[in-house]
Amino acid sequence: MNSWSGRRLREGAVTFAALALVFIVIAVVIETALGRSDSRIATEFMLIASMVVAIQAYVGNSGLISFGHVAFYAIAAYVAGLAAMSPSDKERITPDLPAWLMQLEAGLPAAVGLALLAVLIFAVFTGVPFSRMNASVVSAATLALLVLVHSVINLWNGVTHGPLGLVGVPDLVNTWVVLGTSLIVVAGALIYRASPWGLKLQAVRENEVAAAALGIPVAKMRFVGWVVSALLMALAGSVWALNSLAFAPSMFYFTDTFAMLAMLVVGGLGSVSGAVVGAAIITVLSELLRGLEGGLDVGGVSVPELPGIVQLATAGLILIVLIARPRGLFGNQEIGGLRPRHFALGRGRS
Amino acid sequence: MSVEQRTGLVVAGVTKTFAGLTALDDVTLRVEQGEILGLMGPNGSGKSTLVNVISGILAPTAGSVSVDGQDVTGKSAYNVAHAGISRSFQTVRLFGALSVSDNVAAVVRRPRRAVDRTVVELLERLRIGHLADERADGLAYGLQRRVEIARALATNPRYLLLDEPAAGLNDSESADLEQIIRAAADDFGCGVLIIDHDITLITRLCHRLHVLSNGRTLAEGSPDLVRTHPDVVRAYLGERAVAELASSDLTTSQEGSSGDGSEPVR
Repeated sequence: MNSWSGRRLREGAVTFAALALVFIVIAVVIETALGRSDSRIATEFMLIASMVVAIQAYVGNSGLISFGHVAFYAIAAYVAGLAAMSPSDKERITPDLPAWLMQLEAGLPAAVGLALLAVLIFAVFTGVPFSRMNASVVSAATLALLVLVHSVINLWNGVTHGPLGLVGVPDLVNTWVVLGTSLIVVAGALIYRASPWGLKLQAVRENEVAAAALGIPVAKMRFVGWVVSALLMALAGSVWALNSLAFAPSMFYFTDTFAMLAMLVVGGLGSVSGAVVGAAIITVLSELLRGLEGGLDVGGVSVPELPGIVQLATAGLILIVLIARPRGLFGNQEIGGLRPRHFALGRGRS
Repeated sequence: MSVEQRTGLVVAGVTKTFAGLTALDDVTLRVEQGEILGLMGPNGSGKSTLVNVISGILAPTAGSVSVDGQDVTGKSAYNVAHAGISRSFQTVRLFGALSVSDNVAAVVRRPRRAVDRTVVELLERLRIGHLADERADGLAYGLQRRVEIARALATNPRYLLLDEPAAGLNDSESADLEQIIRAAADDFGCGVLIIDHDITLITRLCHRLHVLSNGRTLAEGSPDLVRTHPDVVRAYLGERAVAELASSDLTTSQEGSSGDGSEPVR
C-alpha cells in the first residue's frame, strides 16, 4: 500500500460521495415517484452513465480514444443474456449453443460473472497487442474491433440469433441492482484513477517519452487500463442486458459508440465526474427533444415534425462545448478536487 | 561489446549515425557515483544525443553503455531507467496537466515510506513544497525545471543526467540549482552528468569535464580545461582567446587531439 497516495484516495472519496448521491436520488425517485416509462428512462440512464464512466477509465487516463468499448458491452450483454435465458427459449432461437450453455439457466450473479469472465479473456487477448501499438493507430484498431465483434454477432445465427437478436431474457434486475451496479462502476473508476497504475497511465498520457525515461512501463500501464475499463464496461453491460429483456446487434454499434463518446466529450474526457455529468446532459437533452421529433401542439400552436432534431442538438452541443471548454465541462478535474478558482470560466483548460 | 565489470556509468566507444550523418564518433567516458561530470561542447556537438543514447531513447550505432557493470546498450528507456539512470530534458517534458506532487508521485518506485511523504520531502528539498497542488504546466519556467529535477530524483537514481538544467534560469535560480545538484551528488551519492553552457556554473560544480566537438571527444580533464586547453578555448571563446592563451605562460602540451571545433558559442 506504500505506493497508494492518501491524498488522491481522499479526493476520490469526496467525488464518490457526490456522484453516489446523484445516483441514489435517481433510484429513490424511480421507486417512489416515476411511472413505468419514465422509470425505464431513468434506469437506462444510470446504466448508460456507468458505461460512459467505464469508457472514461481507459480513454480519460490514457488519452487514447477507444471506439471499441461497445464491443465489450455487446459481448457482456450476449453472454449474460444467453446464460440467463431458459433452455427452452435457447433451443428455439439459438440451437448451436454448446450443451453446457444451453442447459444453463443462470441467476444474476452467475450470468454477470460469466459475462465478466468472457470480457476479461477478450480484453486480455486484445489488450496485449493494443498496448504495444503506437498511440496514433490504437483508435483505428479499436474501431476495427467494434466492426469485427458486431459482424460476428450479426452473422453467427445459431448462437446469437443473428440480426434479430435475443428475446426472452429474464428480468433479473430491479432498481437497487442497477443502483448497486452504478455505484460499483463509479467507485471502480475512481479507485483506479487514484491508484498508482491510474496515475502512471496519466503520466504516460501527458508525456510518453518522459514517462518511459523515468521508468514507467508504458505498455503495461495501458494494458491495465484497458482491462480495468473493459471489466467495468462488462459489469454495466451485463446488468443492462438483464434489465432490457430483448436486444439486437444493431444496438451495439456506431450509434451507441458515438452517443457515449459524445457524453464523455461534453463532460470532459479526463474525469469520472465529467463522464456522469456529460451523460446526464445528453440524456436530458435527448429526452426533451424527442417529443419534438414527432411534432406536437403547444397551446394551440402546432410545432411541425422535426426528425433528426436530437442528433442535431447533440452535435450542436458538442461544438459549443468544444469551442468554450475544449477539454469538456470538467476537464481533468473531479468534484472532489474542485477549488473555487476552477469555477471561473477560462481557467477550464484543466 | 563486453560487459564492463567495473562500477560507474561507463560509455565505451559510442558511435551514433543518423542517415549517414555522424552525431557521435567513438565517445568514451565514465561517471563514478558521487561524481559530477560536466559535458560541454558547442551546439550540435552531440551532447544531447549522447544523453539520449545513454538513457535508451536512442540506440547507439556502435559501442556500449553499462551501469555499474550491467550492460544496457540498446535497451529501452524503461529498462535503462530501472538500471538506475534518471534524467531531465533539454526542453522541459513535465506531465503538464498533472499537479506538481503527482508529477513526482507518478515515478516513485516502491517507496520505503508512504508515497505522499516521500513526495513532500522531495518537494521541500527543492523548495517547491508550496506548489504541490499547482498544475505543472502553469508554473514559471524556472520552477518547471525544478519540478523536473525533483521528478528525476524521485526514482532514486544512481546516475542522474541533466540536459541544460540551468538554461533560462536567472542568477539566483542558477545558484539554487547548483546547491541542489551538489546535494544530489553528496547526499544521495548520485553520479551526475550535466550538460550546460554556463561555464562559471560548470567549473564551480563539476569534478571533471568532458568536452565534445562534432561528435568527438575534444578533451577530458579537470574544470581548468576551459581555460587551459587551446582547442576547448577555441571552441568556446574563439580564435582571439587562443591567441591570448598562447601569449600567456600557460602550457599548451595537451595539443594533438582532433580539434577542428572552431565553432564559437555565443
